[in-house]
Amino acid sequence: MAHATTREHGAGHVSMDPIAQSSAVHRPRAAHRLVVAAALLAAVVAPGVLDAYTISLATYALVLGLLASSAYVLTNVAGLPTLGQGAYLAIGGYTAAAISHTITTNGPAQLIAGAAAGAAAAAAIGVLAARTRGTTFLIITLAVGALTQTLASRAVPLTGGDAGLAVDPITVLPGASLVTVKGYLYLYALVCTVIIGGALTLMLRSRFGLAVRGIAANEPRARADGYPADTYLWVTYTVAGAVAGAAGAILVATRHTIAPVDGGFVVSGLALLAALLVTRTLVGALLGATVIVAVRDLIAPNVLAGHASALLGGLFLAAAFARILIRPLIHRSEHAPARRSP
Amino acid sequence: MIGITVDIEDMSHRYGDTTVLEQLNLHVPAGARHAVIGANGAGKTTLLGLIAGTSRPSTGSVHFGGRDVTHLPLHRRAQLRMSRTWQRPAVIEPLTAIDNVALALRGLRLASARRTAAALLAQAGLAENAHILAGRLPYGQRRVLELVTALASRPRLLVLDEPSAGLDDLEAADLLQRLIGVSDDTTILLTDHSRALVAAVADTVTVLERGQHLRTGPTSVVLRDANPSPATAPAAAAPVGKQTERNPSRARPVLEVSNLNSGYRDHHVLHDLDFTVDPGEIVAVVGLDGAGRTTLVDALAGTLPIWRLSRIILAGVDVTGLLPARRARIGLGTVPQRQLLTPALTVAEQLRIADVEVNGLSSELLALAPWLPRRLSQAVNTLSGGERQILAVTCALARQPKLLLLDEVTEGLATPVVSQLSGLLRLHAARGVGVLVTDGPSGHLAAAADRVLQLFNGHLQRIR
Repeated sequence: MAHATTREHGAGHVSMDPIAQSSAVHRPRAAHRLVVAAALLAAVVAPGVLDAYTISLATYALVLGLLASSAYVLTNVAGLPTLGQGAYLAIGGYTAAAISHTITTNGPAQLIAGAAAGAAAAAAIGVLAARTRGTTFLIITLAVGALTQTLASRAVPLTGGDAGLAVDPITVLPGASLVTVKGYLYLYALVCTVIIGGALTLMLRSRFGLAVRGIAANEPRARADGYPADTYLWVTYTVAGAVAGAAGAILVATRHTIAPVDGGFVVSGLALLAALLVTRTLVGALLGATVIVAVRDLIAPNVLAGHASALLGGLFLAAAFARILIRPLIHRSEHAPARRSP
Repeated sequence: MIGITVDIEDMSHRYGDTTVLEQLNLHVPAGARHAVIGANGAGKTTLLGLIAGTSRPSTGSVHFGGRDVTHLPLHRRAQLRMSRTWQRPAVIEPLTAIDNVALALRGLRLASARRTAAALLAQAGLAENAHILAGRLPYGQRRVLELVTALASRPRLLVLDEPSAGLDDLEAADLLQRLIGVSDDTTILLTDHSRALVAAVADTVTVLERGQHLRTGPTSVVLRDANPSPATAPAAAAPVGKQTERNPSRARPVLEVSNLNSGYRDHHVLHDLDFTVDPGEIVAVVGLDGAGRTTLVDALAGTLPIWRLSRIILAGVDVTGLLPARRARIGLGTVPQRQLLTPALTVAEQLRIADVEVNGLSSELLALAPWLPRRLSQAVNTLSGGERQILAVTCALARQPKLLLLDEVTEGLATPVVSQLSGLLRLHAARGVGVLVTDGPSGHLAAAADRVLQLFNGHLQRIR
């Protein structure tokens, strides 16, 4: 009897048909590629068909999408749920603003500075944070987010306080003219997002990414394979800080302002929800951010004016319930007898 | 590369007020197979965890190959080429089987690590499920995957916590094969409740009781003396008890063979042989040349693969599929027709590698080979054929086997020596050793046997 019990414990649900398994694995991959291609195409043609307001919303969706990507890497890949990525967006944003005021209007330079500032801050905080797991980590990130927002409000000479800072438009190439057209700014944000997203994808597909997944799923096994878990998670936290910092720099470059609320708790929360909303992938995080911005700023004002938060809340509940409802259906189809290929 | 030694000095471990290990000292030599046994709560898993670096001892130290690793965490010890498995197979469930193994191959680029991982999984019989998420593998396959992962980096120290837990008999036999196949370059430290597994894998055993070191010694000795409490009593020992209850007057046969099929690539030699040898019984297998006598001995000794459904139980332990050395450890003494002596060695060296003390030789053995003490420094290949035969028999008998397997041992022996040998076999039989000899149809040993089986066309038939 003890034997049988161990078995049930260990095995979980087991589908014995390898062909059913492998086709189940391959089908979503093809679908995933199709979604990426369609989303990219839509993103590229968007400035040609959308009005200026919608374009600025789409630009912000990219910023939130990058922030969601950083939350995704921590929450879904490294298993460290975060509610404080907004802090690094703020740090990156204020750094880009300071660079713009003092050194250069060059957008890519501001982007690199913002990412570096986000990385440096995350690296410092990660020394302690990356040693914790689960709710302890979540609370630390929450505290970091709140603390950063408070500092940004109080350090008026540096940050302009709650009113924030106004920032000059950027140049993209040295000596070129300032970019002010919303469509071009959107394309700048899109290119940055694609490059950063591509780099993240490469990282996640590398041995490093695999090891981080391993640490999240079974830390003792990964450590027994020789991977220093705390160091790997610290690097992941630092990279996520860099991505959030880059998102802050893009926000400053495209919206020309930065205020404490831009990196506040609500933004951090939205980034986490975006990471969990659609599918548990990097592209899912970007799409989730787009859906959130669309619902809050495009649909809610027209449908339920003044109740954007209620509509968003409803959306999250619906997504959560849908997941619960859909899961048994997915399982059933996975366990259904598969047609044997020759 | 060789295995590493593990030295534990004065190690104690406490959880709060409870002492789970007390003042433990242990030396595990390089390449050894060492088991830690004891009842539940004896501290086995704690000890393994302290060795692997999953936890730190309250006092004392751990050295790997002379290097103090007491304060090195698990991953640093893994980088020193230590691998471990857990009581519940630790696999990374959201990753495919291939990626689980590829992660353990740290020295390779990911793409080539994946190719190597696929090959390793195919070798382990998991090719079909290599691309499946580890969390979806059946329990037994997870166990295999965990072991493949642990062995992928060719560790110098392998720490196994209850590797057979939760496995059925077939899976456990498969596991045993894998463990026996592990290179001697790997030191193995394991704990398991299966006495059969411990007996077959481990050379030496440490017994723990409530955190205290009870004893350490050779597996056969420790297991023989150990009181099989319910916690340490393995499945394999259970049938012995049952049989004794049913038939108290008769001990379990020392050798039980059923459905034995064996042969060579395209030549099926032995067909469904069923027979037993009781303790104290001399059984002769006779037959014409080519009848399959040597094939039978090789199959029993483990030097020839046996085919499906065959089952060989030696002294209550299922040794089907075990390597010859393991069978020897369980109590099989073999003198094959092609002698296992090493011609380049001296007699003394030959005795030493056979683990035989010259001073410890019994007077009966010395009577069989009175020349032996005088010719210790002589090379084996300068002995006569008969002397070599005698030396091989001496080596086999001196290790006090439970079953002695002699193939055509009288070949080249003078008649007086044959009668002497025959008397010696009878003497050992009287002490409870089972003897299985092969001989010609009118051989001396066959004449002296209690039972004679004839092998004809690969089938056995009792003729006396």
